[in-house]
Amino acid sequence: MKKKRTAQKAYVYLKKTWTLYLMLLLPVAFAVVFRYLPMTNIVMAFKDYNMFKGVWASEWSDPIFKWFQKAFQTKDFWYALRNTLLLNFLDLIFGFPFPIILALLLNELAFKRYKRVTQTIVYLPHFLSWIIISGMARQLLAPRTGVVNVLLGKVGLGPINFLMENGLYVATYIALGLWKEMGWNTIIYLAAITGINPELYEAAEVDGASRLRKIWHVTLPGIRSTIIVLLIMNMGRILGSEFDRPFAMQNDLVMDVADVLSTYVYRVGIRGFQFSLTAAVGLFQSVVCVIFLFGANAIAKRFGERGIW
Amino acid sequence: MKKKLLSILLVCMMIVTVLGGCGKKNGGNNTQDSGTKNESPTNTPDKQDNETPVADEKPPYSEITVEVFDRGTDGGKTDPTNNYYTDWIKQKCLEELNLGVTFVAVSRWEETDQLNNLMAAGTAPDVCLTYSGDLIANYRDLGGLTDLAPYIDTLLPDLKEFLGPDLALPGRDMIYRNMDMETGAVYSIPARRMNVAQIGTFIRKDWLDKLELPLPTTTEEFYNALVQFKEKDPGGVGKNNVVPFTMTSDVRWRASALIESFVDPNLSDKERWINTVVERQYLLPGYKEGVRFLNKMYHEGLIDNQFALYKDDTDSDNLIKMGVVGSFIHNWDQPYRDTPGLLRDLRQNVPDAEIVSIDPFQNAEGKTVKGLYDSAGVNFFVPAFSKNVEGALRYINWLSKFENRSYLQLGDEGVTHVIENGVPKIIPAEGEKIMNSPQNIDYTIMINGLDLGDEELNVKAIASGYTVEPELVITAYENAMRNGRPAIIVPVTLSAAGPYTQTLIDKGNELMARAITAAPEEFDAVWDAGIEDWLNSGAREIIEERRLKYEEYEASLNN
Repeated sequence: MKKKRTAQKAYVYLKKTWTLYLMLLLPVAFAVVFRYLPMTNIVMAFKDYNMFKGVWASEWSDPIFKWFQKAFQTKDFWYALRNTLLLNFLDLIFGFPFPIILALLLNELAFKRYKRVTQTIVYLPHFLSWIIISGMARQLLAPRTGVVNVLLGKVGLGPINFLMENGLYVATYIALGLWKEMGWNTIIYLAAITGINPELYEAAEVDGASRLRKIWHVTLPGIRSTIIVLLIMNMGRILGSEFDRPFAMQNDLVMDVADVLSTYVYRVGIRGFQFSLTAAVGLFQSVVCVIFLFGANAIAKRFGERGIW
Repeated sequence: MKKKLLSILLVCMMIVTVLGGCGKKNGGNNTQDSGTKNESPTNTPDKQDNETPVADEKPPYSEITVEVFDRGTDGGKTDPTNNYYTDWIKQKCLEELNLGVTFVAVSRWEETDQLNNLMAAGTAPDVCLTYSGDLIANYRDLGGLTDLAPYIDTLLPDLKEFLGPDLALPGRDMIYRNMDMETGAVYSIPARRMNVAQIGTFIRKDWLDKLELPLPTTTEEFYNALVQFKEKDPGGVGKNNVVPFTMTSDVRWRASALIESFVDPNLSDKERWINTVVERQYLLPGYKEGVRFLNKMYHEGLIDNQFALYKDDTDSDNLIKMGVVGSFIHNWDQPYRDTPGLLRDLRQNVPDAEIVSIDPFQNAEGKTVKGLYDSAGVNFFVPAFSKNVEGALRYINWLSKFENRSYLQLGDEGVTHVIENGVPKIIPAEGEKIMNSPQNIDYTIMINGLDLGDEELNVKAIASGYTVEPELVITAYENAMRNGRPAIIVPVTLSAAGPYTQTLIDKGNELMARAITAAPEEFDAVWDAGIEDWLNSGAREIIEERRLKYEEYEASLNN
């Protein structure tokens, strides 16, 4: 009896909304055709890919994990893995809190036009490509002709080799990333701050809360869930690597700390015609990223947050 | 009700447009397929057996596609696939060979990547070309190339005659240069390089004159000149700005003439060939000392300390054009070329600037030895999936005929060249007959450099390809050829070094950059560690294979 009723309900529901489902069909088909079907080519990681035969007709590699073994056996792979983790971790440590602080600061600005102008200026670098930024970095930071070092020379400080010494390179790399993305990342926090109920601030004011108190007890808790969601998403990227940023910035003298998985894969896999190796490293990278993502999500849930699903 | 109808209508429309889009794509493919089917009768197997095709005989109409490099050069150049010269080729081929020719552009700078994509998709042109021997070896090993050996005598007689005997391998024709010794298969055929000059050293003569120094004739004098450039700043550009010697991260090329002079002159061809991996010679005895000399120059401030940041020539070129550079090493004619126009642009900044070629780097025997190019240049091949191998080869053979390639190289008199003292001199053309690449090198794929059909004229004509004073070019050419060491050619088939090539090139650049910037007392440690890493990254295996193959080849000669 109950079953029948639910079936009837479903029928009525579908009758009412089938056009919507029909419309949904197209985006779903798009995702299947262009997102999921290409993913099946990941079997390439377990085959000896021959470009003239195609992925499916190529022979299975023997042993089946041949390309993974091959990658794990080289020193360069481990260097690249270490650097990817190191650079992304530093990016997270420095790149995550700064946008929040900036958003809080912007939010406290009383002069609205000043706030808007500042906001626009800090997020403009986001629209520059890494190729341009690395070119600018070279023009500004090069030891002999770079403007920064020329100015330092004028006040009697020796040239600082920002780009060609391991430690300084990492610092420059992180700082440029921060400069480029900080403003853009504040947008989400600012939006979340706007969503906080103004009555809370009024109540806090009545209670005699100072500005810092209001930030600490109202604004920050108000955007806590946003912070957590962004943190989880960032954790998922800890082993993912951008390509253009390390590729454009690295040079021969700092490869020990500058070579990351994406540039390693490009050089050894794609330029070396070892497409199966590329696929294997890519698969490894994705699996680790998914583990991090799930881990971060589980931890967030344990702390009583909603997580991302 | 109306609303519902409307929504159904909208959904239907969406589906129709989307499916319609797919349909069009399929339709396009179908017509292409049927097009290729029409041409395929020319190479059905039984026809090949019954009547061997002859190069000049007019077969039924068919079509081919031909790769052409797109150099993306600026300066009002034309579309490489559609311009006056492609029209000329198309029309002539239709008339004389009954062959429809379509050009397919491939970026010169992403050659390998684009060709890989085309080959993997099975849409590569019928005639493909590449400078990368690795790429060809890789395709060969994967079974992607057509064996051209059976066609050489029937379809390629003019090409065979033009390429002529192989000077590096006496007793063999150049057309068989890339032949597999075991199977006799020919998967690719090289172009003939008319001019084998490779490397040159250049110096600012106006600076030398100001310091009353002669043109350097020894490494010592060269070094002293650089020191004086640095200390006395003859160009008046500011002492901190002078770059006595410029190079890029590609050190092994941008210092090659200098380093080469440190290599042991008694080194046998055999050892030199075996130990040269991906054109890198780091392992040759003496090479390290050359790099040590660069290390010394670097610490004395004679080399631009930013060289490792220069991933291509741009920055170094700009320094030369600004007039702060004292000397550099590059292609034998680099400063005189129209692109990048080093001397031309320098003279706009410093009107009385002079860049002249010198030949100072003497080896232990007092000879200024330097490498020369192999007389085999770019390679062309036909993919295994090509539907019209015969058409492709007919086209190549037609192009090899003197009257055809000569017209393409020189164009019309008075428009693209003038005759001076019996030698054609290239002049800057305007309008539709402007050439997309110098001497249409991208269409005349079997020849690199001007061929006038006469050896003496060819040498005379070298200087007339430039817009600068001919004496500069002639001196540079003579310097580049003096004591030149011909490329060593060993007719063996090596397995593809593809998986290692890029790693070895990159690691080699790292090795050089680190060794040159290392503190002098740490130089040996840095160099040895870098070499060890380089050997472990695949170089050792390649060397072992080369040694094995060379010894097999030696044994076969003795038998």
